[in-house]
Amino acid sequence: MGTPFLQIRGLKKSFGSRTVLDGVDLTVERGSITTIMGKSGIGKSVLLKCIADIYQPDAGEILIEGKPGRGAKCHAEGVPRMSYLFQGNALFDSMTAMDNVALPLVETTRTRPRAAREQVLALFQQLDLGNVADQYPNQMSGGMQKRVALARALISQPQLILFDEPTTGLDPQRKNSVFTMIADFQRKFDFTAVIVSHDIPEVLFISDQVDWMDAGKIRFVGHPTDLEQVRDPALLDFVYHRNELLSELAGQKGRTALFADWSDLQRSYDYFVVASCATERRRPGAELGLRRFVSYREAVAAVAAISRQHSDVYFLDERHFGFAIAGASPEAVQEEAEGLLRAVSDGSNLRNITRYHWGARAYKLPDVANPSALWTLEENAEILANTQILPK
Amino acid sequence: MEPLKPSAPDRLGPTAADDVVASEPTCRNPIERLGEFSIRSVNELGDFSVFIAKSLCALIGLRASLTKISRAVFELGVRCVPIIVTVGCFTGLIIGLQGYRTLARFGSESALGSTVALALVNGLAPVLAALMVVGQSGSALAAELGIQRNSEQIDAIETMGINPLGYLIAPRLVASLVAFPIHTALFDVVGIIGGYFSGVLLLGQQSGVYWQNVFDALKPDNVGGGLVKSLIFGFGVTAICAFEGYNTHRRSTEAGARGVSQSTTRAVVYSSIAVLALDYLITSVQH
Repeated sequence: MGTPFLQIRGLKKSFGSRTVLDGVDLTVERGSITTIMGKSGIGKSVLLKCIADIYQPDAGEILIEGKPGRGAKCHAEGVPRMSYLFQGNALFDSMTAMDNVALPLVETTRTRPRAAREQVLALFQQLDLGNVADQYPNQMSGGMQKRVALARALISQPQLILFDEPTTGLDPQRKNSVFTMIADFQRKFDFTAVIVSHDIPEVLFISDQVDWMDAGKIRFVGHPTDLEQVRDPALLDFVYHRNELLSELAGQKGRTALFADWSDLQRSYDYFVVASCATERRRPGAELGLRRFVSYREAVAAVAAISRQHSDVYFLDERHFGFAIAGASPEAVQEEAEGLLRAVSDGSNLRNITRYHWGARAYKLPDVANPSALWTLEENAEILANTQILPK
Repeated sequence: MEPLKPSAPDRLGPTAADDVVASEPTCRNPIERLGEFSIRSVNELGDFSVFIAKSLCALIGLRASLTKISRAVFELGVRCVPIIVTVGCFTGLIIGLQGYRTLARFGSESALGSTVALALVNGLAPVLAALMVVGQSGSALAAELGIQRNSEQIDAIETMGINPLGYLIAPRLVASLVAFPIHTALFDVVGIIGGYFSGVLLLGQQSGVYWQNVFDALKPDNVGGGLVKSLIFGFGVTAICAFEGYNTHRRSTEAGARGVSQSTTRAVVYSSIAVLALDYLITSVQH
């Protein structure tokens, strides 16, 4: 295994007599999205600010590709550079969006102002920000400001972007939109992302790795699906409190409940799959007659109408969708899964699926380069075709 | 790689209040408190000196420095012109009025022109102009930097690889060296004209006598001394206001808007005291 992109060992930071970071160890792989969770005031933002060289750690080391480096200075030493997306965006309120985004180019590179302007406009096009170039931050909505801040973070083509609670103060739709945007641009620009967020479960759908911070240390590291198996009461309380509450209020099934139900299905069927995905479409499954926050019974009934096999469906919110299918043969299950995914995405293909992973205990994934990365449409199809469905 | 060595207390803390709590003296003995205060004052003076030195060093390699300095001269200079003209005019009127009555007791009304000119050029003009600029631009500078600090804009500049001292502070320090002498010269001219209004137009002194006295009194030493004062005042007050605003998170006992308010108040008070103290020192040296 190669050198991790970012490695933190024994990082300590105190403010006066208050110890905030008490020996943090963290490893982040290149091209991954890592989420750091934890209660408010636990030191997540301080950790990011130590990486960004805004705070000076008291002890410990921060390595980027095996070499010591922190903040923007590491660029000068030949180590890849980083950007920081602040919780409050930190846009300069006396500058237009254009000037805000062009600032790093104009001040740190030899780019001429006209060339910088062209680069910024090109990026604005990619981020759907075509009409805000001459607007000041106070003339934009919160979501728009977030996009401009992201544009400023992206303009210098960093290899690492630190996101400090990128969805603070946004409504649920905008939160999803920001997470989708991060996932999409991470794939497009191929940067490594470290996100500090409380937004569970939304952020888990785009994360490749989850780190849970408590009492100044990282106390859990794993894939988001590994959270299903945790036994730490504090972590369980943190992760599932909101998730289960949301599911209960909306009449949906949480992932934990869905997996629990599989004990029944396993007794009846030889083959099954559990999958979940986040789509860029709103209201996935609308063509099946499903409404937003559809009740569990309605969802099952609607999917069963098109399903030949036993199906189970759950929704986390209007962009996140999950399902479980069981059947008598692997082919039948696979065909069903493909059909359902196509129906959910847009009725014809999987283009809009940004995340798609198999969570079934009876599945063996084929060897893929990066099993937890976001897969493209073609990769999805290939992985689906090569997935080995194990007998019960 | 060697682990990072324990560092000195950070420039930044989670909140300004945390830093203050951490640095609060635990002793109650008056002598110890005096010692604590002295050490803290020396530390602050050291921080201030380092702040100025780093800001000036940051000028080297600053992109488009002329543009930034020009913009700072415009912001610092043009914004203050109305108040300089207003205060200069009234100061001249008052000196003309008071001076004429005082000189009349000794039958020396003819010396009014030189009295007004000398009082303004080497004394009042640099001080009053500096105080007006402190109130107008210095407070605005401290508040602007304080808000930028609180809204993480300064941190954002750092994370982009831009030196915030070079980008935000250095151009303003250089601009003060350009703008303050101009302000002082403007104050001188307007003040002398004000003296002419009260002495000649209101109280009836002969115009030729007034202007002859003004020209006789204005020697290069006097004018130069006033401009040197304005250079020192300008640099000093801009540095103090910038220092207070830039370090609002560290130097205020409260966070947020109240912290900025404290920084701005401190910036104005310290700058005003500094102007008067420096005026005394420079005048002592000049004479």
